[in-house]
Amino acid sequence: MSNQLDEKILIKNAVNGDQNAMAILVESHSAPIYSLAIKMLQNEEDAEDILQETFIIMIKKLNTFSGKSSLYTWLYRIATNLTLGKLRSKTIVNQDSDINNLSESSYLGKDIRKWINPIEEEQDQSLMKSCLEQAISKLPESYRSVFIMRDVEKNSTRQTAEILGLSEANVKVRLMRARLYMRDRLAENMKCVDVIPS
Amino acid sequence: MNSHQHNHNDHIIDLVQKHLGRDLGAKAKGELKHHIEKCPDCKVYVDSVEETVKLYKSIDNETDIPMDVSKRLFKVLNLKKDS
Repeated sequence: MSNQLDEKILIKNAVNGDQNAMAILVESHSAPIYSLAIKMLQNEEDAEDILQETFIIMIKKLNTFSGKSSLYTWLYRIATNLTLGKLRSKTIVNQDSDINNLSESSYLGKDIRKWINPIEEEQDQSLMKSCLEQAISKLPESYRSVFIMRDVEKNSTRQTAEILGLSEANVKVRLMRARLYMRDRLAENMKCVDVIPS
Repeated sequence: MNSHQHNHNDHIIDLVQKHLGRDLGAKAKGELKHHIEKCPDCKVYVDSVEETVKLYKSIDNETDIPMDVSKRLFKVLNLKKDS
């Protein structure tokens, strides 16, 4: 509570021209915004552009911030919209990904096998990390953004739909496909056994 | 690799997706649990997707801003950085 009050005072002071208050706001929110941009864009230079653009907008528009949401939520929306714009402007999009081959009926994905002790050794962890990083970078942006916003950032279906300008049904379908794609890429590297047929 | 055609009705698929999205109420949770006890494929699906998300989150630590990136940010914003 006191942090929220402190932030409200900082915002008020920043709007009134207090450069030190503005610097504190930038410092306290820059890491999560940069982190979000890196996850979505998978590129450090692009993430830095988003970071700078987000805080340029914050400084210009802070006087219009209503305080109905937290400042972070407000910045998060700005950064997400900028990130999606950047992704759309890029010509290299992984449209040929296997994800487009998943039909509605194959909701279980391709590889229905139980995983045995998926991560036991440090070596396995390193393999999984690289496998997951590769999988997320190959996810088409429209699926990656939904996966990150729902499963990593813990936004609700409704919030994700609002931010991305999608219907809730569309968010659900994309999330299901993204999860399956990630799961199947990981399964390729897992020690698996076939499920006993029922 | 097991190429599997799973003929569940939309209701079960919806329950599984809601469960994974943590959007499931207590009553529906019981219904899904009952289904999963009888359906090894759904159990594997739920477990493996949950494990995937868990693993992804475990590698997904917040990225620290490199000092030079932070310095450039403050310079662009024409603000003075404390440290």
